Amino acid sequence: MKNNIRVNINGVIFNIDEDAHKELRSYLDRLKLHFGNGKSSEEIIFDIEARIAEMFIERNAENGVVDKAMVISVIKVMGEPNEIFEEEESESYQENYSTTHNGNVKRKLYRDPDNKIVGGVASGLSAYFDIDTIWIRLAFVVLTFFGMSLFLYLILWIVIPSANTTAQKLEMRGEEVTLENIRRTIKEEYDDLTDSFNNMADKHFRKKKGELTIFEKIAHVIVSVLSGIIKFVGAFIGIILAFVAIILLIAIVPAFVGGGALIFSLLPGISLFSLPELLNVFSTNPTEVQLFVNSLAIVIFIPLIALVYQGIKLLFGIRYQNKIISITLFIIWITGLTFLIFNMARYGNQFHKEAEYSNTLELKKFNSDTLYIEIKNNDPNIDFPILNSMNGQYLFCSTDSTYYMNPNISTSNDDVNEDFSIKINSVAFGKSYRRARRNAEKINYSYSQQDSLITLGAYCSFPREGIFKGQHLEIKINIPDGKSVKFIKPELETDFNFSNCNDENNNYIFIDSDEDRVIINRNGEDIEFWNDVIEINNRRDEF
Amino acid sequence: MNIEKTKAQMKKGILEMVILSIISKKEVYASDIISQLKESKLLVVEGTLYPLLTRLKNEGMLEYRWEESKSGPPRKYYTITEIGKNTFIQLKAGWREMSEAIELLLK
Repeated sequence: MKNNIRVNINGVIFNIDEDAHKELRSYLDRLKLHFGNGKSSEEIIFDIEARIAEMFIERNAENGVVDKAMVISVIKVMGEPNEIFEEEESESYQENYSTTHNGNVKRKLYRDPDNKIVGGVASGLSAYFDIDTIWIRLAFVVLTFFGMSLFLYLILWIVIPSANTTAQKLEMRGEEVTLENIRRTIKEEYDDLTDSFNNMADKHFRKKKGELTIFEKIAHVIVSVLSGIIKFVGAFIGIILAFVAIILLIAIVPAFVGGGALIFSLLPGISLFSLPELLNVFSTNPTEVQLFVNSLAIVIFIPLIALVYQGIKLLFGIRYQNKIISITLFIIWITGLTFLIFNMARYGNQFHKEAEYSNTLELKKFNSDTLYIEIKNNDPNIDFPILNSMNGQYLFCSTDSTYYMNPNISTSNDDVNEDFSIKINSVAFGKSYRRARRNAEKINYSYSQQDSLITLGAYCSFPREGIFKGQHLEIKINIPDGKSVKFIKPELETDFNFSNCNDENNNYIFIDSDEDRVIINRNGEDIEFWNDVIEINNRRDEF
Repeated sequence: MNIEKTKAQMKKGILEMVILSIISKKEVYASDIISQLKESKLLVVEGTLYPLLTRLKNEGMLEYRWEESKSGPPRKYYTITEIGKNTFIQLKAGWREMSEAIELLLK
């Protein structure tokens, strides 16, 4: 008694007994061994199986069982592999078939144009050393950080010849340059080509194979050329973005670590000399600050790293995609972003209301048409600025937890009053008007007058209670008609540039104590003066 | 000398031309080609045909479409292409030349 197996040959169901099945199976395996793997081989075996099914049907197997005798007779008709190849190929085919990719012959160094991303240098090198291309490409990436990569690659590209002929390709891989090998290499390349062509055909046009009309073939070529161009441009952009991202990363990381990120002093509003210091301005709670720093880091670094990663993949043709990592990173990023936004909203709330507290100085009378103003440094204990605004105001913090800030000095022409007047505005923000007003009142400022000389303090100060509430000081000096104000060069022993002064024409005056000069920016042009005194007049024909 | 082997060598180049000839006359199934080749004793084992058919198809000499059949699964129905026709004409001419020369030599 024998076991019965149901088989499906080319879509037709047969009952076959186990001996016959073994015989048939072994024959099909012999065929596969003979014809190898490849799209064409698959097709040949498919056709042969179809014919076998036909022959079984002719022998009335559908109404009964396929037995060993039937299988043997069918095999006889179809032919054993060695009988097939005798008629199909030349004798030496089978001998050379076993000479696969041995690579026993001495290799020559070529560039591989079939496996290239940029110039085939990496794939040529990997063929020569018989290692996977990934390692060579990684080596190039590492070398990039030493700045040698591009140059080296170009040199190699120019010097190493390209393996264009099949004989050269064989030499590259270290295989014997025999006629059979050449034939086989050509066949492999052709198969690869038709494979990819057929894949594209299946994807774009769902017709049966071999049925593309001329128009479809043309459209096909156009599509593949266009998509090639798009892919190339996309890859190019991706690589550029990656470079930008790397530069940004290098610039930003020191800020997070607490070193220096002087690049950021170019940004208005923030001089990121040290991020942790900066953040103390926003919150006094250390855990809060830490959370804020972390979420900021997440929001900034994750996209940058992702860009760099994509760029590297594009550059070296790595197609590895890990969805889980991508999704996880994205979720982390969104969480960080939400936290950040939430915190910033909460912080913004502190600035809900603005209050101004105005104080007009009572100037004692003096007999002069010129008012002299001297700016005196009233605190030598300041370290470095944390924040700066666009109009030159810096927020400092000294060791006794007091905030200091240089005031914004502006002048205006007053044709109504006969006397000079100086108004000092303290401005602050707060959750409510009352709080804002209270914050403003807490701003301290010192000044003194001696006849026509007014001495103004270089900094105003306010206590460091909680977060920074936008406190600042504005000093407005009114110049009556026909009179003028002169600023005496400040004797400051600080490292920074100090103060600013706008006249009504919006000329920006910058007193640079460091370089001993005054810069007037008139209509966008910098005009330098080396002077002890700078004069601002209420005379329309000047300035 | 192995006579069969040598005869097989002689047949080797010819088979493709003969297949093209058969297909150029009309559309055929693989089994039709096989029976014609067997009749003319050019084919000993059927398996030989399929690699040749695949190679001719890959070279663009012939194409096929699927034909439904009442009894059984669909079958490939082969037709010759323009390239195939042109190649066949040239092969035929080459064969005629060769066989004339050989006939002369064999006299």
